[in-house]
Amino acid sequence: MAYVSIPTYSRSIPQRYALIGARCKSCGTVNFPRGVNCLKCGKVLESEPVKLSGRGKIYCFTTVSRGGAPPEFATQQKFVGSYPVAVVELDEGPKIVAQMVDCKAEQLKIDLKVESTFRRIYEDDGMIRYGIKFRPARAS
Amino acid sequence: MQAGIVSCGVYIPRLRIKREEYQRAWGYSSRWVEEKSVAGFDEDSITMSVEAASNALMNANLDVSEIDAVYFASTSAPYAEKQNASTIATALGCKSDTATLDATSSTRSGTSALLSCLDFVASGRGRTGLVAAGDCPLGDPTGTLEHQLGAAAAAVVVGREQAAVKVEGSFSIASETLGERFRRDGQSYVTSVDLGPYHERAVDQVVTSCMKGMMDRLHRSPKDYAWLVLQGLDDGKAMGLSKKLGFEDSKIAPSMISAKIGDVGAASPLLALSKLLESTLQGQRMILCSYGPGGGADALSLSIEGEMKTVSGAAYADYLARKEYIDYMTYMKVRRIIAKG
Amino acid sequence: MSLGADELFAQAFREAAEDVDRGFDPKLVQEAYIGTLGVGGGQLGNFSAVVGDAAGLTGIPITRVENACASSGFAFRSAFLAVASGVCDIALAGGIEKMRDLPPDRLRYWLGVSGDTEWERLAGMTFAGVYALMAQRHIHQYGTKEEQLHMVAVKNHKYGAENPKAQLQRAITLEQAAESAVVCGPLRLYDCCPTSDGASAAILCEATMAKRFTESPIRVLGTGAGTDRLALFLRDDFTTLRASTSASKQAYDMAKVEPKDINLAEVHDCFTIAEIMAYEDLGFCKKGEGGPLIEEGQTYIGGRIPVNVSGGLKAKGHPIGATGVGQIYEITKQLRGKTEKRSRQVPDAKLGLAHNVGGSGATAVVHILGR
Repeated sequence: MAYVSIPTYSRSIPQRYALIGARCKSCGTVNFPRGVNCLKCGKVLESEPVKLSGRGKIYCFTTVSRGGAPPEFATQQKFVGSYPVAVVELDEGPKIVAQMVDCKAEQLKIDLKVESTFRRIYEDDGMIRYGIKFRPARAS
Repeated sequence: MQAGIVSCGVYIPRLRIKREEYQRAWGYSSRWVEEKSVAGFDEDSITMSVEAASNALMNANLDVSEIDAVYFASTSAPYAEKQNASTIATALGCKSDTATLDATSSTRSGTSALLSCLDFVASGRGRTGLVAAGDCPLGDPTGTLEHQLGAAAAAVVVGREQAAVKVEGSFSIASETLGERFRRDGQSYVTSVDLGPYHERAVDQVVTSCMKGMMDRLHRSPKDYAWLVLQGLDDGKAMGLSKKLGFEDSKIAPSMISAKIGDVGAASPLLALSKLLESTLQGQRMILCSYGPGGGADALSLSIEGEMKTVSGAAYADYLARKEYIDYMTYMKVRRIIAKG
Repeated sequence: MSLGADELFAQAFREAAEDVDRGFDPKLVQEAYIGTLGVGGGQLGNFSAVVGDAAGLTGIPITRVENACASSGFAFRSAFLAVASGVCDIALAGGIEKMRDLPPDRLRYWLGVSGDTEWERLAGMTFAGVYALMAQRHIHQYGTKEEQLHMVAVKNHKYGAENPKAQLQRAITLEQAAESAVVCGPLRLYDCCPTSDGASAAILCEATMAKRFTESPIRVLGTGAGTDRLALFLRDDFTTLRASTSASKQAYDMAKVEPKDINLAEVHDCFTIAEIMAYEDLGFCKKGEGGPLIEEGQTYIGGRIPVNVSGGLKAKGHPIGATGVGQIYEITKQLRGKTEKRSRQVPDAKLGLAHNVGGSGATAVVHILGR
């Protein structure tokens, strides 16, 4: 059943797979995801693509437990349990919402430095829907 | 026109399962695998390849816009039909005129893809190519093969200029060995027919012909090589065979990877190669040989002439160290064995 | 056997008509606006015709209004605008939602449709997750305590237990709330409103006609509404609902009153944090002081501003499309001094405010009623 149709999902594949942001030509703000109008100046978004680094920090997070998961994630919750979801403030400015992986509950905190990773999100219409999740940034 | 290896990148998933879990569940385990890596519920051969490929690009300090080809190798590609390499290329942000290719159906696919990509660059079709081999094969839970099957990915950037590793030559053998390790179309699990002595002889024959063929072509002998990577057979067989071929244990030992991650299919040869190349081997030669049960073998003669960089935190040892143990029940759920999730 | 959507609505409408103390012929309704999301596995498109059948009003103009959980609040606003514009003299506003006919998976689908689907839902969140993020930021930015969230639940359950119309009529303790299962941290089971079946109806008429029907007309003094970005993560501030603030400002301006003049409020406590934010957004206290307000008991009867003494969405229930007009029902009863139990009657209530929010704040509508 197509909760989010393939065309709808596919229009945002550059964002979902490769974190391609849109830099507004009017005000320079990096928009993510790409909407009709610039999130900052409100003008119709004419932009150039910019590949975001995937680095950022947690702005806020919650752990989705029983009863809190949408149907797309019912299987994930049944098979692997609760999962954390975070709003991440990317280094380039915009915020993105995604699941957190590869971390223990104790590690999660506001301002934790994180980095992106490419994962399977869910399946629908027979297709694997891939996207980005985040994990604690590794020391470099 | 010569083509060589510019950089490598690796990925090993975080989850691990110990041999003891299999002993407890089934009463047996593979001799060569103490623990193995496990692809998480949201991972597969494509996602693992994307990370390995990103690392390879970082290690080469290369912008993705310079990649002209993305070749993918796996025995456990998520799609049997629908190109998998295009997903990887899109995830990396490659340009639209990237040549993509999937190499599947054999643990030898990793080296097959590598050889093809080297040809892509050497022929002038492109300047730089990326080979990503990711694998997470699944065996029949009730069979003896399952325990040893792990999960990992490795990627290699090939190019003309700045190739730290020159490919001096290669040799390939085609063989038709039946029952060794196979998965029919539509089957989820890889399996094998238990014909120990028969298959051992086949492996022996094919690998020997391949390695000898390659060394003869270049008028070389084992003493010219400091290192040997031999993958596609279990560690015991590999050690035994390499000794028989005239290579000292110390030349092959560092490339034995299955004790801690298991048999990672098409990713095995490139992963073992990447691991070795992280050390300074400048001025030395290496044979990379990869066996594909039921299908033959590839061998490449490599001359390491420059330095290979590895970004801190992305080395083989780093990924190996980042681990979380799971029990067998969790393994059954995470790998969707207990039910198709 | 439980009642279907049509029977539920018919019951609410009948009750509304019978509640008119000087008598009211239902056929006098000239125009109707009904809020519903469409959960329930029943008729989705052209639901207006179903309403017409159920209410015996087939023939008149009927419009289905949908703004998620604010559907009937907006339906009431539309009915008000229809009467105020002179297009009709007598209008019906109401709402209906059947949520309990569905198995959990399908229900979870419906609970997710009103949030940002493409990003927030596909990150794995329903509203509980989104409001949990707001709660975490509110705690981080203002030092709000998790305990204060639970205090909201305790208050609303106390009043729900005194309201025969409430879905949950059981008082709870702070300990019970604090120890209930985590749904999306920091929100626990008792921080979340239940799923409910329900219907509501309100009959509006042109002001000069009101005395013909009732000795205690309740005037709609102000209406205000607003919108915000659908996705929480794209908003500038996660601790306020901009739509609530602008809706309430419009309503206060139109009614020519201030927050301190309000005697009681029905606010949209889909989650306990939503009530705390509502105290601030509606001007009952300064930004960040919502936690202390509940802790000091100021939102109980006897406090500065009784809030949700019906039990709120938390205990009274939240049949999505019906909630907005359900709040109007409560305010009307309170302003007329007609609550069933004296213990939850706000003494000498003159001005009431109803605050209805859609989803995580994408839409909001506020009405100020007075006698």
